[in-house]
Amino acid sequence: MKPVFFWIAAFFFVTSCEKDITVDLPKATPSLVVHAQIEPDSFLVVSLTRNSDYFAPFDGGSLQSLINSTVSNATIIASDGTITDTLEALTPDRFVLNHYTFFNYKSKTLKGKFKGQYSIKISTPEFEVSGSTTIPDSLPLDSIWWEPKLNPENDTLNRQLVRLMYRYVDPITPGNLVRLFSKRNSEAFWSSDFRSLYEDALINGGTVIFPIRRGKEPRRFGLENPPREENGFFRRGDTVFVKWASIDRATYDLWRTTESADAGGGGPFRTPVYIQSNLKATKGAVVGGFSGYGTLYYSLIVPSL
Amino acid sequence: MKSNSNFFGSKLFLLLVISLSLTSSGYAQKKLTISGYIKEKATGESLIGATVFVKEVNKGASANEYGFYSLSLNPGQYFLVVSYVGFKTQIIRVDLTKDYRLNLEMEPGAITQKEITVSARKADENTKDAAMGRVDLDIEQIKSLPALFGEVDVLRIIQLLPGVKTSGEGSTGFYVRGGGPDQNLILLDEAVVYNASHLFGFFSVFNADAINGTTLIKGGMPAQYGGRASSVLNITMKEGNMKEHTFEGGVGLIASRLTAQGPIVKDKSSYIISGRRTYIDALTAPFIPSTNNFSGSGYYFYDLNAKVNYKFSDKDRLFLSGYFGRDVFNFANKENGFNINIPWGNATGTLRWNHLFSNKLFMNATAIYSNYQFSSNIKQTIFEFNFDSGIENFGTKVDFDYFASVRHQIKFGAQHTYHIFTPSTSSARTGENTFSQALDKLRAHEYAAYVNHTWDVNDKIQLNSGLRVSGFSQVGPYTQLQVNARNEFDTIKKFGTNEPVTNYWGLEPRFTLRYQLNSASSIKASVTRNMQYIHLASNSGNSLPTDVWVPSTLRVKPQIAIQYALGYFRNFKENTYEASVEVYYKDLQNQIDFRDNYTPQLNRPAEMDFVFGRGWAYGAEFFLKKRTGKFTGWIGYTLSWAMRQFPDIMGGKVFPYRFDRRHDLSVVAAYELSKKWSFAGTFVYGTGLAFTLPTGRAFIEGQIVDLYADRNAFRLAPYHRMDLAATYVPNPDSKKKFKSSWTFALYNVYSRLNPYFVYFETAGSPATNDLRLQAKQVSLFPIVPSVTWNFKF
Repeated sequence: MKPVFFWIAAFFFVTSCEKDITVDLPKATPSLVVHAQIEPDSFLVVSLTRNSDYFAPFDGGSLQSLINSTVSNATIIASDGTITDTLEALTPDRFVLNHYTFFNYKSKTLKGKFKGQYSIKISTPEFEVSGSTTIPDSLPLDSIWWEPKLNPENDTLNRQLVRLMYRYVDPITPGNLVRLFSKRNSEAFWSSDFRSLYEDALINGGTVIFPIRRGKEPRRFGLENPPREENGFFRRGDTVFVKWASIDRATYDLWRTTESADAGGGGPFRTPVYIQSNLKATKGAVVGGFSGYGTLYYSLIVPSL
Repeated sequence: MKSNSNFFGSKLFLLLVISLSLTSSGYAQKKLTISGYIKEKATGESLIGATVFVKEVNKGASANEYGFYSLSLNPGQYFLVVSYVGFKTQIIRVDLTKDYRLNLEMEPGAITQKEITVSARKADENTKDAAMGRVDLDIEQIKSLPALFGEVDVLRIIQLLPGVKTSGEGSTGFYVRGGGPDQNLILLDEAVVYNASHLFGFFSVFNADAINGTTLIKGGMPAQYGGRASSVLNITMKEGNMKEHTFEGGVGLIASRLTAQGPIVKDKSSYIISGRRTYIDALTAPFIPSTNNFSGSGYYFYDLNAKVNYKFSDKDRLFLSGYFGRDVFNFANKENGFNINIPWGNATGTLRWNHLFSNKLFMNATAIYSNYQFSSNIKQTIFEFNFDSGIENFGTKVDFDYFASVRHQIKFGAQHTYHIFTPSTSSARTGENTFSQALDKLRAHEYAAYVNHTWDVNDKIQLNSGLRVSGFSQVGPYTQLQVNARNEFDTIKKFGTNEPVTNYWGLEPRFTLRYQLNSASSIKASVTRNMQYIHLASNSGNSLPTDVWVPSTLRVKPQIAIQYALGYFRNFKENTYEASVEVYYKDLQNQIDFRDNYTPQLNRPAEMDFVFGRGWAYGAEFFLKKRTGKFTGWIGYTLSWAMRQFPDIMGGKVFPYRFDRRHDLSVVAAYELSKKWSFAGTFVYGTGLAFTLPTGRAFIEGQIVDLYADRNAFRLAPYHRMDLAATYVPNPDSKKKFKSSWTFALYNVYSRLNPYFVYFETAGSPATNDLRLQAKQVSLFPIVPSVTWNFKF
């Protein structure tokens, strides 16, 4: 429903006036921000950072400043029930990076597998946090293909743009949940506008054909944004990649609420959303969660004109 | 069966029975009865609330909703004073030797014209009637007040009364004494209107040209009303001119309206039909070429009110009335193959039969249909998505007015409503495949029986005591769910169609007491208990058309409100001025809110995301009104608190309700300079709305994510605004049938940028080392001029 209200709001507020104001916000409760994930055949990776006051300076907002906000004195123990692994802390030069997403802890031996269950325990002098996740069975796509952009105007750019499509046959059992990312060429995987979730509440057991929007880095720090017409579309000549990851309900709820809490929103129709974590803090407070991804990768090449 | 009967218990029944039995004390001497209907002479329209006062006994009676009155007196000679504000008072001598039918016709004219009246009743009713927290609006006279875009709206006028809050800039949503938006019973010709607003709250669904009377009850709710915890807004449509065909209408900036009414059979049957439509879409369409990417986008709303009635005899009359209104929002983006069509609106229908069993016993039997539907149809390329929700009611009720004597009036009746709830349910189509995982429609029966006794104990004391017994039965289909450790739903039990699921019932005692201190002042007190069995689930600061009504179920308990009020009422200078101070305390149980991490999800029962708690509200309301003269108006001020507490929200910490507003001031003034020119103005001031802001932020997956702390811990800036209007009547003394007037209005005269909402924007760039979050305040309307041309012939 989000797009609907966006357009309603856009329609509605054409006459509105806007001004900068100063808001006096109290200090935020210090929290450990956990972004942990595990995928089949990959090591468990964890990003540990701290939250900050809402208006705290970004220190330039550079990658380095983000790296500086990491928590590096944690002990993280993870287990799949058989293997128990103490994660190694990575020095910044070894961070697992996906542009502004980075992981500063990595398991040494523990790797994910489909239908696996994983627990994690994080200890620092200020925080004690634990939780678990699962990697569900895979939910394969039937196929992906591309189509020319609908009604391309007679200009060079639009004729270059294509829409990526997928066909998916949903299993008859209800509750299939997915996070979807895409990228082209050597770019990094992103969701489109931080909207990555798919659930089968509506189409359970059916076959669905739907577009895949091009993944978009949330904040193209210092980079030029592509033209508006290109938003969501791929280009002729691109090599396109799709990351299609089955997730459990708790991971779904984690991202459902996290994506709804993205900053910069607002409006009369927006209500505050508190992030639903699948981690529990027995000491201090925690934000974020532990995601298990049953990931499958797909790719295709869009021929040049 | 679940019971909520522990309040007051059987002692209350006893008190009521004693109160009713005392009625019989008036029968020792044979009484004779004068009764009849009070109507406007020119149109035959019932004058609701007109009074017949008997000088000799210093008592009187008010006409009911159908204009019927009845007085039982000892044989003898009496002078009856028949009055209704804005009409010529009549004094009639009656020699009462037998039961007497006296139908009265009144002519406009009067003491003053154009006075702004929030009570169309008799001049001293403010102090003499036991009713508290009750306001009657005269629609003709509020038309002179300034209105946003020139669209006269009863709901906006209601917001100018103490104890009533608006939900925000321009909105017709209202909140009474700390109650929620679903706690107002909004009736149009006795049919419940579930969503009373157009354009996301900017206009109400009530077309002022079709309305006869509007009554707001914010406390001391009489027993004939129920099903809501906070207030009643009772709107009656005009009946239609019994004498001649007339037409009236108006052309405004964004909408126009036309009303036709007249006799079908003179003095026996009449009709009224009234329509209104916005036309920005129609006006802009020719200027948008069909090749434009957004061609086909637009918004409009329309209303249609219609009513016919037939008088079979002096004892029997039938009314059939209906309302149909729709908002339609369309958006098209051809480039993306994207198309949205969202229609929503209400439909109501009411069939009523008035019957006089005797000159003391009046009956109104009613069959009611009410429906609210919201649909959303979204199409992108080959994918289509539909979303529907709504509520549908079939109701029957019967109400009796028994005019036992001048000291005793009894109302009693019963009602039944069959509710069908369509929860938010979705379907989709992609290519050749159609998907539908619709949630079951929920069904329930709501019942009530009531008795209400108004008793003039003596010249000082009037006691209004009532008891309502209400019940609610949910029937299948229904699936009882519970959340398991994996956050998924497990089915506990499935109920088949019409299989009983759960029952609730409760006693709703209602008492108001007036003690007359002297001829100009009185003290009043009231205590009421209300049960509310259906609830509006809203996740937004503003009511949205997508908000869904849900029934009480195994999981959702009925809301209960207990309200205590105490007031001092005084009139000055022979009722030229009216003043009152009321204090109240309202206890709200079984309140509903969404859990903290709720976001709308497809095909998921809303009740699984509810949390339950309590609320309370208290405050003082001050009201001073000048009723008559060339200069009229009022000042209302409210000092109030409204709080909520939910064990599952912030660990049970108390937080202010979103419409908690410490100070609320309204000033309304009107001045009639001449027959050609009159002026009116309003000024409002209110403490800023409570809202929730993030206090922290985190970086997750490259995104800045807001971290929220306490709910409603922040305040928007205070709201204040002045509006002015001037009405010009070109030919006030013209004998021609065609009459017209112009209303020029300025909304927000000094262009105050009142806050509508606050959001945060990420500004700057890390590349230039100036990335920051900036709070932005959005205001909707600067100064808005409008002009409306009204006509009548």
